Amino acid sequence: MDTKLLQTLLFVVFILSLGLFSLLFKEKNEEAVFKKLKLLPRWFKFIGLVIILCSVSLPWIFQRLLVDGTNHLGMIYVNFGLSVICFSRDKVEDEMSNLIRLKSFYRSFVAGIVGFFFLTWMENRVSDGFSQLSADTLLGTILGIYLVSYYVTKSKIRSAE
Amino acid sequence: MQNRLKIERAIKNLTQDDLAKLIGVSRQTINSIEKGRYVPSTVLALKISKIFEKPVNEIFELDNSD
Repeated sequence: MDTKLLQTLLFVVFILSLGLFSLLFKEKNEEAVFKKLKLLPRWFKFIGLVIILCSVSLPWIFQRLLVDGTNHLGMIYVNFGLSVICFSRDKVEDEMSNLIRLKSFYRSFVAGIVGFFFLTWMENRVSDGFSQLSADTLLGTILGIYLVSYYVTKSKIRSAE
Repeated sequence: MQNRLKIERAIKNLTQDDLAKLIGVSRQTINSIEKGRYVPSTVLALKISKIFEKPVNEIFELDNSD
């Protein structure tokens, strides 16, 4: 099959899947939009952690480090594990934890964008050309910053008592 | 925003944990509200006023900086 046709088909599938994804999150009424964030059950955190540990430790046991920045498959597993942890609920999920979640997402998203532009600019200065920052590295950074920001804020609140 | 949550809680002899369980939030949220670090939503403020059987503006009041 022609590569361009395949790319177009993949793009159409991507758009359709986005539509299906938004249907999943469709609220029955407008009020419900502001009520609660849809999150995975709490025990998914454990699954996420197992995924990360397996994706980091198993290749190491077999003398092949997957997470070295060049093997994207390993990074995909790590990112998947991080996403599962990010979207799992806490023991008590209330409006304050929802606010902390949203602020952490905002912080990590902004940090990701700034980091992307800075690293692209640095690459251009150093190697005199543009090399694309891989999407999995960027996603991993954003998810990592989100997790750090969320849990640091929560522990700050706990320690301020 | 200022609040009398700690005083009202003492009158009713409720701990932060008791109040948190009654309104379905975490103890940290109650602590943050009491210390003025977090401003609760209208729904949460109404739930608190229902527990203490007092109007919302008797428990929460606007500060000069608000």
